Amino acid sequence: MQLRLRHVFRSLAAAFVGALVLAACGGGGSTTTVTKISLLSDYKAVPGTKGGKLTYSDWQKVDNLNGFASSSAAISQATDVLWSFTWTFDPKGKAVPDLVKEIPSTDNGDIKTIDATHMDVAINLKPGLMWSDGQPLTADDLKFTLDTICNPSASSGGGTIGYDHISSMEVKSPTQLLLHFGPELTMSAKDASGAAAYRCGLTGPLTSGIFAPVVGDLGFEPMPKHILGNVDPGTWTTNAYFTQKPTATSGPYMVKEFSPGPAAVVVFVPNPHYHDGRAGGAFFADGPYLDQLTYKIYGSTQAMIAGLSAGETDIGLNMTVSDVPALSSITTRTTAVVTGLQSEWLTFNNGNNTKGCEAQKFAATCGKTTLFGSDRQLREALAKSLNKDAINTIRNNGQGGVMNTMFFPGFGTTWYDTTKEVYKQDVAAANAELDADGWAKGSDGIRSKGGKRLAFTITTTGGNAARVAMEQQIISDWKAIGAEVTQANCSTNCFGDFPSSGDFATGQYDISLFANNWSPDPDVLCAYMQSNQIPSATTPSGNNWGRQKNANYDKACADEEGTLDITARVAAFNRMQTEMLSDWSFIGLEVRPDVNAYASYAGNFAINPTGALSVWNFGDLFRKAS
Amino acid sequence: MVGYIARRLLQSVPTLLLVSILLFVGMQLIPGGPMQAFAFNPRMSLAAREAIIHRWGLDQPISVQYIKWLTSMLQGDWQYSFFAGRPVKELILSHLPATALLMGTAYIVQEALALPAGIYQALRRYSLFDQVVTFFSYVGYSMPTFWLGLMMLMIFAVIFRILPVSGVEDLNVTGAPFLSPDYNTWFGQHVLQGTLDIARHVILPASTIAIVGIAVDSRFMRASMLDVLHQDYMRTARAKGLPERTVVLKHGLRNALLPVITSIGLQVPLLFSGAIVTESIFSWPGMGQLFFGALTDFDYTLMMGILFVSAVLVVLSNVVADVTYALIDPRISYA
Repeated sequence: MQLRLRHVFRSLAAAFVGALVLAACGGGGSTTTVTKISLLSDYKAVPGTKGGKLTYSDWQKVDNLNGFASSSAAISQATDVLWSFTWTFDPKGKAVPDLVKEIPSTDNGDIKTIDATHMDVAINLKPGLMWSDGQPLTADDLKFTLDTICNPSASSGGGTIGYDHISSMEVKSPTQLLLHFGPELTMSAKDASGAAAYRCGLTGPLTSGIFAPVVGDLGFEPMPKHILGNVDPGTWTTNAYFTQKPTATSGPYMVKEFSPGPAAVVVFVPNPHYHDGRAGGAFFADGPYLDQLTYKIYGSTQAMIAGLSAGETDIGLNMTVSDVPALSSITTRTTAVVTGLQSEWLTFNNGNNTKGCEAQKFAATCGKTTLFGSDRQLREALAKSLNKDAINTIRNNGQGGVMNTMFFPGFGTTWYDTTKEVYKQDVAAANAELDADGWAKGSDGIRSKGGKRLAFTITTTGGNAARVAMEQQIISDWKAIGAEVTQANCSTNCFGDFPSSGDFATGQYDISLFANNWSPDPDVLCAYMQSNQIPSATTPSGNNWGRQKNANYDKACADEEGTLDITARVAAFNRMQTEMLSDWSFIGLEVRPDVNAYASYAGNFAINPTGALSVWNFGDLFRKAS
Repeated sequence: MVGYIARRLLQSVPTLLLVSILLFVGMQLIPGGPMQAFAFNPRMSLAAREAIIHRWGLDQPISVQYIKWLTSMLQGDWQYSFFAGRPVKELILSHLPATALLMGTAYIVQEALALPAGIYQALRRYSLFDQVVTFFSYVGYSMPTFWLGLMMLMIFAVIFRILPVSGVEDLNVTGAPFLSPDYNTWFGQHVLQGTLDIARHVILPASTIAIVGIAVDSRFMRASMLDVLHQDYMRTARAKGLPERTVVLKHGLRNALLPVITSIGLQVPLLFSGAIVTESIFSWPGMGQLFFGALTDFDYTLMMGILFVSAVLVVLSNVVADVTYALIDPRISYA
């Protein structure tokens, strides 16, 4: 997977919405201890020294500087240096105000609940902010950007989830944009001029305007209205502002030169107006420090590691644990391995395996019913029999983590209940469960029940050697309890939309294996388990590829999404976690670490495994005196 | 001769048309497609995806897409790269100099060493020189480019640090990417330093390409020369009392070069298309990497631009090779 969905895990969430104080830490609201949990960042940059040059590198191509439309991590590592966010996230997933004075919350009054289906969110910019060309950065720019995000022809890479709950916006002052959340706007709505209005790609009317993970989803990079206001958003992707040299930026650096492609080079110089409006602030108040920052793309990780070793580049991003042995031989660079929110898991297809159902447009009634949909005990036995430590060794050289279900500790103790069952391989229990469930072993060691053999396929992206090795381990573990499993990997595209492509969306599999980068807010899991997210003609982009129809998941998701009360959300997520440990429709496998390497003289460099990426604080990056 | 060239060029038009159709259809038959770049983005709305499909013209029948592409190509508009957002022509032109520099250097080194070596091997068959060159030819020929490139990178750039790892120039010195406006300004003020800097950077990738090429071409030249040396006209030339140098160079080499010219002529398009593996290892900002990136992303417009220009160059280099035959061998006449 060459792409990294930075925006997906950019939501930090409702923690800020409800309150910055959470009663009952980690216990689902059941303990009596009241613990203050601050979800605001405690990041403090080391004061730097001005001057010098640094070079950072990646190995995935950078074709353009269009952070607005792209979802490529390699591109974002350039664009996030150019455009500041309203707020970003530190390596712990805690929010850091950037362009805003404060992170909106109910505590500071920036988020107000109006009634059960309405809320207002005020985004207050720091006064005096400027674009790099000296023009003021105002709430007009914020509104312009949100309008464009909601314009389908602009094809925002960050998507429109969350924005679709905004019914209207008001520019209250040059520094304040007020967002009204509510369900009024429907698909047939008209705007003030009588033209057809839209709601950010939403295909149906909303029943609630409350959007709990609002902080995460509204952390965006404003675009300059004075530059792009008269440009058709449908042509932004070919506009020189994004393809060659952005003439007005808000981040710590601006582009001096950009050469695109698989050997791209971006040369940055300091933004002379970065200080305007930021002086004296708690974050990003003193940079940028460097005279020149260069982003260099290598043709492969091996070439990038050679560049680090030879001293050609100071910071290497976006590597994996398989690169660690080579990196460890470089004495002049420190290798950082940090587990984040990237995980890999198995999903049971609880519907039909629709292989061969093209003519029926992959109708749910077509195909062959899998063994799993009505057999919870089978799913549990398969989960318990896996040797996930071996899988973690295969995938991460043992440097990642293991997980029991799709809900894993990476979501943080605010949401993840650490008292719940953790992973433990138990082959005896798995065998006993299958025996009790009526799966009897035959003479060939394979179990059968009611004339059906315990035989099925496992599917993942083809051509990925590590995944194939993981599959082989899984197949071996399952064979030990009497299951006959064969590989049936996607020849091309596992992940396309329904019904034109995508083996998972169309249901052409028994068990799938894939990975994702998650948001710190577990709300993102709902896309994979809510019954209204089952891919169909009306919801072609739905991610419930396992065809889960579980009322408990639906209820937990509806509850956490419909309230700003953090305690209620924690309780809903705990119910979701409990249900996963009972339902076993998902088997968590491994948590994958991010790997970066950096020179000791790269001051304030901090690897960030969240969607904010490791360039999140490049405004503070400086070169220490040697 | 002019008539012959005109005829050949005219004949190449339907060939290129057919090639372009095959390329266009073949490209679209590859499973996947450019929209897979957004396939794992659950946040992107269906409307946004449809907007992209419409913008790229993928909602049109393939015949309409082809005609639109052909029409715009004929009008000099090579369309925009799907992912770079820049005109295809501009992307090709911006990557071409680096590839021409790399491949041109490799090509010159390769032929400058391979042809004399092959000739001398043929003239001194089974000599120590012949056996040594033959041995190294087999070694060079059997080494995978990616392995050879990585070894050279490790030895000369990482371990001994006498040559750079990547790129065309030292960014810390020039402060700007190769051929960017700032680079050009810098180069204009530092011609000698800039030339030496480029020369240092081109050594490893050009050597990687040339080593394999020398192995192939020297064997080819040797075989061709050996074939000629035993022809009757060589004996006749010697019988006439011509000096050995004249016999070898005028009567032997000119005939031996004919098949070599075909081989060399077919390699000329590589000057354009580049060497994907070598450019990737040395992060060389050339056509090979550009094409590979387009291929992996299914960037149809960019792929078509590169492939079509390559096809044109193949046809043209064949014409040039045929014309060169006539210039070298007086027995061949296209009148």
